[in-house]
This record gives sequence, structure tokens and C-alpha cells, in this order.
Amino acid sequence: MSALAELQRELQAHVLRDDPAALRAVVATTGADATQRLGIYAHAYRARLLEVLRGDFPGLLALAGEEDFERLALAYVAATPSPHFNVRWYGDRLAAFARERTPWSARAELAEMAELEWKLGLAFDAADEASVDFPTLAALAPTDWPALRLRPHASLQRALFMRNVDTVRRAVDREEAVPALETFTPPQGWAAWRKDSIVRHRRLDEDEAAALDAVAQGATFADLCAHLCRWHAAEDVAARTATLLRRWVEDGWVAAYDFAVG
Amino acid sequence: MSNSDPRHPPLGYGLGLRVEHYEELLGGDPAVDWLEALSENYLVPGGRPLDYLARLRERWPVVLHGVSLSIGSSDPLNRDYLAQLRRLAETVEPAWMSDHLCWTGVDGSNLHDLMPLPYTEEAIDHVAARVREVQDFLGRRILLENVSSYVAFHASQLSESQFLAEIARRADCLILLDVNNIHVSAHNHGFDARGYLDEIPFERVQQFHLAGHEHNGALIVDTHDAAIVDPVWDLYADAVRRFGPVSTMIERDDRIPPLADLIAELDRARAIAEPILRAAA
Repeated sequence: MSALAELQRELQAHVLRDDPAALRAVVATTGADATQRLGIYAHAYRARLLEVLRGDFPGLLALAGEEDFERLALAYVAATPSPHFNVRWYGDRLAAFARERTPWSARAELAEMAELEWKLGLAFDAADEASVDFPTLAALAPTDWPALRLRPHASLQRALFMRNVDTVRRAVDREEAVPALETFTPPQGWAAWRKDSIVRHRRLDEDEAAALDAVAQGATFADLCAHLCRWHAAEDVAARTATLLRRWVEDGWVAAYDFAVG
Repeated sequence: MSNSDPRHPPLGYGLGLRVEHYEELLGGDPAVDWLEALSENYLVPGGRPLDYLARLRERWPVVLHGVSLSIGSSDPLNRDYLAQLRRLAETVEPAWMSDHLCWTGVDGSNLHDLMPLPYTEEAIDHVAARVREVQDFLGRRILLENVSSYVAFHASQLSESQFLAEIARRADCLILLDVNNIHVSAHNHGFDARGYLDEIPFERVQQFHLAGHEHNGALIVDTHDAAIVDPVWDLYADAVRRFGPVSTMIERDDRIPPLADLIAELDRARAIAEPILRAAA
């Protein structure tokens, strides 16, 4: 290993793990010894990542409280070196971390809020793409509809939550009092998306959540109708499917469409 | 990439582009000549940041300033980063692109900090070769910025200014002099800030940064979150005397004040630099 590589490994080990090897490489002065000097980098590393997480997860901060949030974030920082050059992506495993690690796993709402907030972030800077408008779809020939397949917009994010983390986050955004936690049975479907540069989110009815999942897997309009028979009488299914489709299109959730062959 | 004066024409007095000021910049007619955008903020798939940048770019010259090049790292250059950066540059058409003379991580980890290098022949060879590679890839000269530092290494054989100057010569790149960072590092390591300026090759200095900082006991910590202090203004005046009309920009990274406060600082930079430049003309 080159001298440069060795020095960099030692410095990084000091920042990440307080490894003392780098101390001997550093010039100490009477005013500031090597520990104090290197400590600035170690402190700045944790402070910077904590600040990033604080910015990306304000709802989690509100739910956990200042102290517990800091404990969780610092545990995440200690366990998770940053693999991506852009700190924008640092928080991508926080939800999984909170779900899997004690003591945070005992408070399932923390992982759920982290997932919700990460997905809001994904919707915020997902790729730009146009959405299909309703007149375009309405102009399709009736014979085209059964084979119609939809491609969801790049910003559309989906999740299922056991708790009302969405209303908690909304209250945080509006600087209102945080509502009490509720538990859902079965889990509540939820979607976030970006329209006109603004991130929006809402709950999904059970049939809508299932239909969206089917769309993501390449279901045709005919498949969707068949799917929705679980919730609706046969004579109502086409109308319900059309209603859902109209809402999705109006919300900009449909980026493109094609027709299944065969 | 060799000619007598490699510098681009100066852009005047600019500001670091921050989210807090997007609307005010677009809605008014602020006395700002150009903007410096942090590349990483716009290395995202889409959405509002890129939309704002495109609208601002219609009104102002923009330069791209990165923090992830990690030019001094012993890891290989990050090709994914460079490819994203090149795509962004194709869209933004920046007047120039800059990053820091530092490293930001090894073994695939990122410290998201501007870590100092030892000032050695080995590091000069390593960095200069990588700058040339980056410049070939981007199809343009880049600027390297001096960072604030809190550690010096026993292994160093040169001063920081000699190190920066030698890399700029060997790599045929340009220099972004952060006047605040010179002040901070001069204090932290006990070197002479004016002597530092004298060792930097005149014809390679493309841009100045001005910023604030905080004292932390015996050391100054470069926080870029405060107003510019008088010793930095004084050093700026010396830098203008030595390097002439260099594009000057105020960089505030945290505790972002109202736009008007930064424009007032920019006016102060003008008031310091313009009489010096007129007298020299």
C-alpha cells in the first residue's frame, strides 16, 4: 500500500471508529494536540450526517422526540458508512435499520415514518416525465380498452402502513399538533407522487391499492376488472375501474400506456 | 490544454446558490453577477431543484462547484460521479467547474468532508495525474480549491501553497482560492497568509471564495455559516492586488441569511476590489 493510501485509511478509521493510529501522523502544536485536531473531523462527520437525517426525516424526529431521534440517528451513522458520493442518498436504509434494531423495532411507527419520508424524498426528485391526460385515454376505441396497460409515473411511490404516520407527517409539515397514533387493520395503502413540482400524498382504498399493485406488474384493463371483482359486484366493476383510472390520470400517475399483445 | 493565459474572462461578483434564495432571485433584480451551484444538489433524476436551476441559468451565468470528486483519494476515480457530472454540465453549460484539493473517502466509503492531503511528491504525482484524467473526461480545465484544515502531517515536504501551485502547473488546471480558507488554515497551522498568496501562480487563479467561520478554542473551524470577518476582507484586498480582476463569490453553507445580507456583503467586496483594480489599471 502507498504511503498516501495508508494515511487515508488511518484517518478514515479515526473519523469512523476513533482508531488511534492516525494520531502519530499528525503534527501537534502547543495550542492543539493531535487528538483535538483530528477530533474536529470526527465530530463534523457525525454532525453532518445527523443534520442530513434531521432534514430528511422531520416526522421521525417529531415521533421519536429529540433525544431518541439523535440516539437512533447516531446508531445508524455508527453502523452505516456512507456508500454513495452524494449525501442525498445517505438515509435510504434508515427505515430498515429502525425496523430491525432494538430498541427502535419495538416502536413500529418509527420505521414506518422513516419509510414514508424516504418515499416522499424519492417522489420529490424522481425523473421528470410527462403524464398521459384523460382526453387521450378517453379517445381510445372501446375495443382497445381490454388490452390497455399503464406505466406508472416515475415519481409514484407506494406503501402499506399499520399506523397513521401520514397524518403525523402532514401535521409536522403544517406545524400543527401531532395527532395521536392509530393502528390500522388491515394495513392502510398509501401513495406519494409529484405533480407540478409539488409532492403530494394520500391514502388508497383497499381495492385501489391492489389495483395499483396489479398495474405495476403489467396488468391490463381487463385484468384490473377481473381483480376488482373481489371487492365489487360484476356489474359495478367496469365503472369502478374507470373511476380509478380517471383519478390516477388526473393525478398524473400514468406516464405512458401500451396494449398487451395476444 | 496549453495557452498563454488559461483563464476564462471574469464574471464579476457572484453568490453561492442556495434553496432559500431561489424565489427571491427569480422574483427580483438583485445585484448579483453570477451564481455558483453545488453540483451534487442537482445530480438527482429530476424535480424542482433542476427546474429552478434551469430557470436561474436563463438569467445568470452559472458555475458548478462539486464536493465529491475526491481528487486526492487513493480509491479509483468514481466514474459514475464523473458521468453524472458531465451530463449535468451538458445541460447547465457552466462557465467553469470546480472541486476541492482534498479527498473525501477511501475503500468505497464517503466522509462527506474535505479531508486534507499530505503535501508530498507522491500526492502531487497522484493528484496531478487524476486531474488530467478528469479534465480529459470533462473536456475542460477544472478549478481546484484550497480547503480549510485542522491537521498537518509529519510526512509533508512542502507548504500548502507550494503543493497547490505545483499541482496546478503539472495538471494544467486552474485555481479557486478560498480567501477564508487561507485565513483559517494560516491560523490553524501558523503560516503567513500573505506569503501563501505570493506562491500561487498568478495566471491560474480563476475564482475567489469569501466566507465566514467560528473560533473553537485554539483552532478556527471553517463553518461557512457566518459573516465575513475583517481579517478575511483584508486578505481579500491583498488577493485582488496580487491577482487582479478575479471572479469573486460569497459562499454561505449554513445559517443562510436573507438574500439582502449576502448582497450587502457582495457590495462590500465590490467596494474593496474596484478601487484597487482602478488604481492598477
